[in-house]
Amino acid sequence: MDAIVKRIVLKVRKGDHNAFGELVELYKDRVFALTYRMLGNRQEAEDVAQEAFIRAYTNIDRYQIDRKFSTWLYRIATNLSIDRMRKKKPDYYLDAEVSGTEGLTMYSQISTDEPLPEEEVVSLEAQEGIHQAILSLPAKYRSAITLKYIQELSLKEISEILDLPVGTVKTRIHRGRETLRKKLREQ
Amino acid sequence: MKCPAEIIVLMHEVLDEEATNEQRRELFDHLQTCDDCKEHYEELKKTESFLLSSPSMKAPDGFTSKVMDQLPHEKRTVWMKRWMKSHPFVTAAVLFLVLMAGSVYSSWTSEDQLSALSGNLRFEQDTNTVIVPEGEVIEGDLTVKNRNLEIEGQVKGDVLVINGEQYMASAGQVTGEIEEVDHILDWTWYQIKNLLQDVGNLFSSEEEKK
Repeated sequence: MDAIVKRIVLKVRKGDHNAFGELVELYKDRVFALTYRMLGNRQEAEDVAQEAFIRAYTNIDRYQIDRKFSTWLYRIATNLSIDRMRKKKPDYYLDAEVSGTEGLTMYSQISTDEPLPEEEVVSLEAQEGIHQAILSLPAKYRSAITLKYIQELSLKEISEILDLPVGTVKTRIHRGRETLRKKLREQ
Repeated sequence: MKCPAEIIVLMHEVLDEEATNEQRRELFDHLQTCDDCKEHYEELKKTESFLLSSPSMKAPDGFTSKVMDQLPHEKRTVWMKRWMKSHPFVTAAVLFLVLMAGSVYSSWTSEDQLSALSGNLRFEQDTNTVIVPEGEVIEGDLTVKNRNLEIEGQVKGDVLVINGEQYMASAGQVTGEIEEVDHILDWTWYQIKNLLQDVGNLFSSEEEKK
């Protein structure tokens, strides 16, 4: 896997536009999962995930080839997500939760002829609790928890992505896990 | 009963799979005896399994093509920059030639000019011809650019016609050399010759000073 990715990166560096498409295909789901968990909104998550890939493309010369590409890419995506969370504009997205309601999004305010597919509704319900719990975490815990459980990365990789010592990453995961435990108990 | 905070730390170490066998044994021995801690640990385990079981996400349809459409089109310039960095001498040589050609070309096409130190000249618009009238005497060199020249009088010096033709009437007289420059190559050669001559003059005049 790493060898294949490296070969593709070298092609991109030589100016092969299409080779970058292969990289996007390889990582798009994982990057989107990351930004979605961080931002909690599909539209924003897609924007940020796209931007992460564009940044990766324009800065491909700065990527150190001897390191893991995914670590570098996740780092870009995580930083962009945190930036976006900080200056969150009061934009209205259809996915955003309507204030004062539990789990109701703007989609429910729009009449639709097409019912959502059954399985999607079920998985949405199952997911909703944990998703909301993650979103209620402060950014620093949220990033650590997301990288550990959604991306299933090692503590060492997380520390490289967040540019923090492993000890700090551990503490954040511990605190995040404790907070989530309390939230889930309340539910 | 309040359990020491270290037990909670131990739980997380175990969950992170960072605990030593000794630590694991310490934790599980404690959990056997303490229901509160046991519950706490169970809850953490449950939280973790919830987190791990969240279904994998799929990027929205058309994601890749949207990204590809937004990529900057500076690929060529990036490529050129990289090439220039790795071939500095070729780059310098090409740059020199381009600037050189540019200056020669611009002096070739620059506006029409006419220079003579003294004397009256006549200019005929329709034939684009400069005429040294009969009986007129030009003291010094005469340069005509982008015009034809007809000499009916006398020129006491060199005559240079650039990008034009010169006719000498039977009565005309030139005491110096007559030179015609018609092509850009000739022009380049003429410029270089002049330059060398100037440099030569510079040295000889300095020598004279000494």
